[in-house]
Amino acid sequence: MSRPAPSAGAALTTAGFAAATTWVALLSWRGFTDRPATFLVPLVVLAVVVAGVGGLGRAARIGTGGVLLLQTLLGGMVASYAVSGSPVPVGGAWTDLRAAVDLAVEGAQAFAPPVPASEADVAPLLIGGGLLCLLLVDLLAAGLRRTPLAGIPLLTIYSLPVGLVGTELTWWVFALSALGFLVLLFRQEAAAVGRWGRALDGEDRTASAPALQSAGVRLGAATVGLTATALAVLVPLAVPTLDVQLLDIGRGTGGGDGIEIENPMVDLRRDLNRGTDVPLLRMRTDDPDPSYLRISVLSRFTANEWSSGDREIPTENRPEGRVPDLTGVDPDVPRTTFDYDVEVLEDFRSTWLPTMAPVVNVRADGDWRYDVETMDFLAADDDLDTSGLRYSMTGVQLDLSAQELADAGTSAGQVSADFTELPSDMPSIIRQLANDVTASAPTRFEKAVALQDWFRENFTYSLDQVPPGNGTDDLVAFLSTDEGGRVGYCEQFAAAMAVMARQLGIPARVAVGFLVPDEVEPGVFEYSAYDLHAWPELFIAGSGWVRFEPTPADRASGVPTYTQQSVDGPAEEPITPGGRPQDDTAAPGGPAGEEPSAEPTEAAEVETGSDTETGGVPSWVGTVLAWTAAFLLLVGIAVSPRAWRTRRRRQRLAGGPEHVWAELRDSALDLGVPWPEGRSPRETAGGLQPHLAGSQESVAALESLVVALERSRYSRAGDTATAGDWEPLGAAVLAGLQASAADGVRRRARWAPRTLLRPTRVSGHATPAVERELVDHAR
Amino acid sequence: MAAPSTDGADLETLARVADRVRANIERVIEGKPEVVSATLVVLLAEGHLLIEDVPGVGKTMLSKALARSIDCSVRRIQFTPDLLPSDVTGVSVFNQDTRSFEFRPGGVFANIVVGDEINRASPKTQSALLECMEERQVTVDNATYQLDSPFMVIATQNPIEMEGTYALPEAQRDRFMARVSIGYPVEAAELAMLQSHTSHTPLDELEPVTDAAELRKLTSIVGDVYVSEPVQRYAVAISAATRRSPELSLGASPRATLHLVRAAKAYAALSGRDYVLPDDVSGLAERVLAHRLLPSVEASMGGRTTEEVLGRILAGVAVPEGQRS
Repeated sequence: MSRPAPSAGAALTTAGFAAATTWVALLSWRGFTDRPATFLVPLVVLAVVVAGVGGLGRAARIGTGGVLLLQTLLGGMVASYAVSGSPVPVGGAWTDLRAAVDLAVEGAQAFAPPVPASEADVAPLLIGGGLLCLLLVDLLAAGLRRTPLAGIPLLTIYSLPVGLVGTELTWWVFALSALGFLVLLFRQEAAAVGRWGRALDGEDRTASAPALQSAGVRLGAATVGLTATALAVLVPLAVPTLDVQLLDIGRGTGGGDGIEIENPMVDLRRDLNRGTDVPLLRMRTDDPDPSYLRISVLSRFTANEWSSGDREIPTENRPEGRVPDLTGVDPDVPRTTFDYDVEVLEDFRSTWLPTMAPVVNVRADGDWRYDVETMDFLAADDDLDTSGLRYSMTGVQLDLSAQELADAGTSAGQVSADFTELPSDMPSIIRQLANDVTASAPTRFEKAVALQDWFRENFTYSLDQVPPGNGTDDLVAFLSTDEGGRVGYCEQFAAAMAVMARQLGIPARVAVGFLVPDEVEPGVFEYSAYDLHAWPELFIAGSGWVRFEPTPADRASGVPTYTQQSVDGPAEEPITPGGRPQDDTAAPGGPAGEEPSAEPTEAAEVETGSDTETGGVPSWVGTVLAWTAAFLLLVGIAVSPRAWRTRRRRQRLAGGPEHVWAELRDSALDLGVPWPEGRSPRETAGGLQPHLAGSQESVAALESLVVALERSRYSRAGDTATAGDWEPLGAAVLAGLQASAADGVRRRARWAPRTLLRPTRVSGHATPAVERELVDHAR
Repeated sequence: MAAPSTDGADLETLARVADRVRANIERVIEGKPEVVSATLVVLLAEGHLLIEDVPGVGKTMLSKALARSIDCSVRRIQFTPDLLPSDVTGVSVFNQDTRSFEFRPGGVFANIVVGDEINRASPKTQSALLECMEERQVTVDNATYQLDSPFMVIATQNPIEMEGTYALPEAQRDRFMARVSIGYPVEAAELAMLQSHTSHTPLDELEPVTDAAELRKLTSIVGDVYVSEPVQRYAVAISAATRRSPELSLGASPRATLHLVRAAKAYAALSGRDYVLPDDVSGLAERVLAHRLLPSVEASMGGRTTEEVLGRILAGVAVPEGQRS
């Protein structure tokens, strides 16, 4: 029986609710751009177009496909007009449209949300995505009348910003879109319940019918929730975010004498081992000792290596003059500034810009960007490197004193907790060593000095036969007293000291750069490949990132002067006996019974730490959990149609002949057996018999079932013959149907039943009283 | 719609009597069970039967066999071109003795009236049957005479293409509940017929197996058969579809719908059911409706018969699924 066309009013109302709900949900995308009106206003027009075309089209009985086509066509024209100024994207308008979309895609990749509209207009992407969502929700809720499924796109819209931006969600957007969704659900269910009500009106209604209905709704809701959750988890994983970890992959050795630096640590080791020294960079400066020219900062330590981690490099962070003030340095620390003019030689191709540290002013051509946390400069453009580059900068030399360094207070909250983050499975030997070495040092600074001195006194510098790498295992080997241990070069020294500092709760990172240059003429210094070096930087409140030099004198003859001064007086900060001092940025959770922290601010940050076994959960656990959850959800989604179908079958088979018959119909359709609409049970059964695999039992069961169904439908009211257990009959017919189906068909029916997405049936239509009266004469 | 329930005993009685009648008729008309069934359906539904076929296939034999099987009054009217309406209905004659007009009942005053070759009479005479068939009464000279119950007209006719026939007017056709065609017998049946009909006349040996009183009881049993609302809707939908069809210039009348449902009730009772199925309705639709429908000029030119058109219409009308009303 064909579905009666809804009235124009009802169709428009449903489509209007669907579009309005989608638009409200799309409000959660406000955070993607700093000018949300640029996409929200066109989407209002699109919502009106989609709802209007959908409502009127359905009232006019244009098929679902036709309505969707019309909506897509008109919506596409409106979207094209909003983006390119022309409703029909041909010729110049097509070029404009392409350019706008390309720009939007580039902008979305290059900028963290909210994308500044002045730099890149991402509205075309948002308009396109919004249109897609409008179409999908309209199709599901108004076209196919499967409102529960419309919850999936709605929830996806809503959860997208969380996954991508991690922004807070606005409660009222959720409340409004949830409300709209519920109204849509109510409209659909009210219609469905209305149909049930009329059919059973005034009769001994069987309780199972409404129960079945509500069970179906509940199950539908559960499926939607499951799927939506899975999408919310999976979509963010699938969408790439800005990650400078890309630098891990070098561009190859490049051949010749060229020196390339992309991954600083890897390149450093290679370049130190070169057969010949290559001059890389020349610098004219008034600085008498321009040592420690920093190329890059490695801030993330994973079990495998030190890396540059993720970087945030907004476009405004360009070296076009002044760069931000020195992080964490007191204004009253005495300082000297020097000017540097740098000329990079052709052979030195680095995607990182060498600068002094700290630096206050940099002027360089090209799209270099800096990260405010690390203050190193990297090329935002794939084709950009330092080869042949000339630039100038102003560096600062701080006159740090050991006393002030030792007296420094906590650095909690001044730098990111990332700088104390360590993998959770760090071998205890490293922590043990760090504690032992620094046991007698009362303050953070003195502990750092103790570590530096320990390395310089007890270790041997050698580039030959060193165990490569700076991961956990490499460091354990480097620190051990076994044969081959305690020998290394700057990479291991810097890496080991930074890790041990982090173990002690001191924010630490590894810097890669040049050590001491050769003065080729007065005021002109030349840095060569052999000068490449790595050193640790530790954060001390009031002094900022402080350089240390654990590499023995064979390589680095001098240590920073402040590490040689003596320190007087007791430390202001309490030290836990036999343990570690308070963590600067994130106090690790100590064993129970440990003295409470003297500083509430530190105690409050216990949760953010992750440097010990007892600390927070390391990132890989989260990743594994997320993937496991995603996998489980996928499995859940994959099996849910089958579970839903099986459950519905069980419920129906337990019901009366009408329910068993409905189950037979769905099962037949699932198996691809034709089931004519609008035929009598007897006729339908006749068509079904050839599909029963010749089983006499199934044929007999089908016949009994047909008689029962006829009795229930057409016999006199009050006939009790409909009571009985029809499940065995239904099961026998189902067995016959399945036996005659091919294996593949049967599998598909089980895992992806066609009737899953069948539009809600609308059966029967009102009988005019006149017609009924006429037939009454036949009695 | 409260109707007295039909219990199983009633249906069994009906089946027993029907089987006896059926067996009786089949002694004469061999190899045509579906024709005999249709005849029984019309008998039990209190309708009139039109038997249309070429000469010599047993039309008259069927009607006479049915008449003989029932112990009731039977009249036979041979419709000829010179037959007058008064021959059918009856006439008032002046009685010299009583010096008053006296009514002489015509041929229709019987329980079963066999109208042979009905389309050979003039339309005027054919129309004389109109009142008696529908209203079961005869009005002559302002006096109305009721006919006995049961009353059934079994008319036979040759196809209208045959020479010397007058087509039955639409109003007349509409009054027949069903039309059946006997058709030629299969060879085996014809052979059997030769053996039985050459030595003796089986028709003469038929004994009545039921009577008018019992028949009245049976028709009341049929009247109690339940017709659910979906089935009623289905019957109405079929009739409505014939009226809408562009291939028909005349669709089914409301009376046709009525006849269809009545026939379906009789068929259901004969099948041992006290309720009507949509299949009963669709199964009888051709016999009950086809003779009332007129194909449109286009359909006739296209060589489509009324039966084909009706078949397509039936395939297009959905069976309502609704539950009990």
